[in-house]
Amino acid sequence: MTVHKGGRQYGCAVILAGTPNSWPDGPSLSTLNVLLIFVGIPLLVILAVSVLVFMPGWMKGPRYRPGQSWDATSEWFGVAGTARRPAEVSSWATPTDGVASAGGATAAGVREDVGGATAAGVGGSTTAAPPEASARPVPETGGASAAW
Amino acid sequence: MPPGEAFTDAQRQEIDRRVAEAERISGWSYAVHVGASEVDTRGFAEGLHAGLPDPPRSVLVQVDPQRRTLEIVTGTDVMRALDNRSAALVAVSMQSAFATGDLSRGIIQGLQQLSQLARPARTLHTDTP
Repeated sequence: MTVHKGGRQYGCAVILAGTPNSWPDGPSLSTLNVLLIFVGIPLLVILAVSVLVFMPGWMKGPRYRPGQSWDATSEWFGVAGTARRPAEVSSWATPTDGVASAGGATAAGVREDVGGATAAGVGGSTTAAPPEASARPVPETGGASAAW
Repeated sequence: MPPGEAFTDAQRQEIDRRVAEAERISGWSYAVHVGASEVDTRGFAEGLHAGLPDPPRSVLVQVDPQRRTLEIVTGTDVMRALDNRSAALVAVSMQSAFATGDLSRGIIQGLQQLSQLARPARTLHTDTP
């Protein structure tokens, strides 16, 4: 065992130990090998992780960005085979819309919409339909609204 | 994904699958519309809901990415199981997903939450006197 005394460095006698003299010196690596091992391998790892992170996004394609223009066609999912277009159902617009939106204060950007019957005690009479709509039935609906 | 389309085929299939699963879990009908609405987004959504085959037992989710609005419309029968406060909680969750730009995830999450909240309560021993 090789013992070094680093007294000059530390100002006092300090015993340091190195590798045993019986151990042979290992083969020296060339500069190319050093670069491949200490630079190439980390770069490969970084590249692999990046591919795994971004690949799902590449496969999904362009994403929706809030605030940008939206030119995609309208789509339906679920029970939509007989859904009428808005122009055909405009007469079904409930006169309680104005009061329904004031049915409750919830989180920012979210409205709690109250059906016609339950909003009667909140914003006055919600069943007072306009004269021109008195012949049409007023469907009661609930739900919620939100914006982002 | 070709330009002019909102979802990839895989996303459409996933949303369709989630709609069917929501209907199976809760027993109510679900419909999702993603597209342009009108200035009166609530009225537009209620109009679409009224056009469904069974409006009292249907839930409509209308998403307008251009106006950045979300409308959840529940029928009269559905309201007995899914109140407006629960619908508002679902709307908040979907709103957060839409704000990050992920429409499909927001819709899928919303359908899952709506079906869980609207599922009939399990009762025990209702057949015993």
